[in-house]
Amino acid sequence: MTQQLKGIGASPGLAIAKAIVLSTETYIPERSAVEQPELELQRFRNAVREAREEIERIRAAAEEKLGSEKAEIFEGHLLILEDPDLIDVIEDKIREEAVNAEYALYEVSQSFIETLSQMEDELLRERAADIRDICGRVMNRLRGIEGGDLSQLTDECIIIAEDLTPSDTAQLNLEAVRGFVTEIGSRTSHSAIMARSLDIPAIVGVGPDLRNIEAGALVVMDASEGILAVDPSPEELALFKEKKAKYDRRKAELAQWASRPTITADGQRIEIAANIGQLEDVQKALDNGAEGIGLFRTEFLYMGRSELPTEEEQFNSYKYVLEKMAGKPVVIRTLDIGGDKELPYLDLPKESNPFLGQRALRLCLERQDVFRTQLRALLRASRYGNLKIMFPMIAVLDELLEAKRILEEEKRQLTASGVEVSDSIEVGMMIEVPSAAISADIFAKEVDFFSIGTNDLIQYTMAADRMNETVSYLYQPCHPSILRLIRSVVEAARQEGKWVGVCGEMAGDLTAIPLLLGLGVQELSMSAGSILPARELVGQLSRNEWETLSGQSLAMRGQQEVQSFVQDHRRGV
Amino acid sequence: MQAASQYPCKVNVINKGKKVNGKSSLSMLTLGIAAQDEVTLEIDGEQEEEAMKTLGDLLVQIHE
Repeated sequence: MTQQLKGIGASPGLAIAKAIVLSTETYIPERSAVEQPELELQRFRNAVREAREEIERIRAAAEEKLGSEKAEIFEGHLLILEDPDLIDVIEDKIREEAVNAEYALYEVSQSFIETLSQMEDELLRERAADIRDICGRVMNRLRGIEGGDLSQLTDECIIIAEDLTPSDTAQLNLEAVRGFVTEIGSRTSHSAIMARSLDIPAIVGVGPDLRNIEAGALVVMDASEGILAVDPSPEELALFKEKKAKYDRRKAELAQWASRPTITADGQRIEIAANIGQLEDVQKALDNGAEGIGLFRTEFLYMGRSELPTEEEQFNSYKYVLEKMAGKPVVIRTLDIGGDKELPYLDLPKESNPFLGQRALRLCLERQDVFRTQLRALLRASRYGNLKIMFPMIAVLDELLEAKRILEEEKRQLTASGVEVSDSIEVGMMIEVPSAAISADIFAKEVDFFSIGTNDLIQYTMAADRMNETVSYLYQPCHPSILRLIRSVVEAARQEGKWVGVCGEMAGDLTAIPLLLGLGVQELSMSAGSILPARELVGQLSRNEWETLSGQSLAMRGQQEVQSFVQDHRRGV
Repeated sequence: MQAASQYPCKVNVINKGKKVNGKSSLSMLTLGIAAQDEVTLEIDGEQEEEAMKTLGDLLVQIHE
């Protein structure tokens, strides 16, 4: 009978194969007295040595398969095997209590595992898995059990397990393993992260129902949706096979676009960049062929902590991204706090309308200590790549001029004190307040670029809180009023020879892209996952043609009309 | 932890009332130290002054 299960899609993809069930039972040794503790100690030390040799072998294999960054986990494992509070304590226990090594190992390691699995921090909870992994290895050696060697799997299979340890994941024979499903875990578990870098489908956190799957049962999994089915009927299987073939074809098709430049059907070059919100996102942006970072949200540096980040901490993060992007443009937005993002430690007064309150640059101009620290970190990092600085939430010219004045002041001071600062940093602003969009011609003389933050521009133009579901129907990126604002911003920039990008959700929206292209936007910045489909679409569009079509859309009565107009014409392409 | 192991003296780290062996990375993890937490170093034995200076500086650095 078909059984459907649901979990968290940790690494996308589809797979069909027989289940291999990894035994999840934990071995609980009995306490027994030993007559010669010295011999028992020797046995324990041998087991540790063998485990160490095993990990070294796995580490070498992981380095080859996953790269040195991922193999670092195993360096950590080796350190655990030298930890005095683990190893010395176990040895003392064997010596002083004259107990068997298995029991001593179990008791000492279990106390660490229990403490760590109750920690609030998810990353610390994940460390419990490392200890279980490593101590399980020593335990197997003590018991003379050959650990299930996943590198020996040769038949196509989907692995079903309570959890996969990092060493399990690194040993997977990718020729055979089609995917894996685990009972526990989250998107940030080791195994989930590894699945993404190995590019194999994975579903985690399915829960105890997973135990019902028997070894050898046929499993189909769709990790993009986080669902799997056991023993599908012939009809279901046929449907699924079709879906999988389609998915695989599409994936291969899209992958070709990662290394190509973004060029319209009529040969015009535009730039597709990625929005990032944390350092890990940079690699994903590069993997998806981002031609730059169009929006680096710096809030992550400030959130989830109890004090402001230091200049040094910020400098290191900015430098990392700039170096990693190796000369490609990186637009870093200065702190955008306020609205729905709070920083409790700044102790700001409660506002009744935070989205209309002291947000982003408004706050930075007031709290200049915070602002100046960030600017100094940015300026110091500027020599490591192609940095562009962007100010958010500007409504009137004086705000921009004041921000630029402070930036210049910090730059002068740094240079005077001998710090090298790049002399080609572009300075731009977000267009998200309607007043700035309407007087873009005035702002254009004072900046190097504009980036249109459509989420906020729509919210403020429509006077509709984007957190309020009852008015969510007013979130209309393709409404002519929004398109007209975008057009006037592009026109104003063009007069001054400046460039315009779009960095809101709209930039990755396949219905909006033809219009943005037609309106003359030069850069689209979106989440990494949207890049390849967007680049493929741009390649099919003629900018010339869409210049005319987008012009026509400005005179339409509403978003619906614009959207069907775009779809009709895209079908015609 | 590796730095602490170089010294012959005892190194204890205290955070929120819990005290552990500073030479053990596993025990340090169980403290659940977050950025900006205030931690106390307790060092006793040979080369204690030198150890205090090196490890104290190190903790400050990690935090920056």
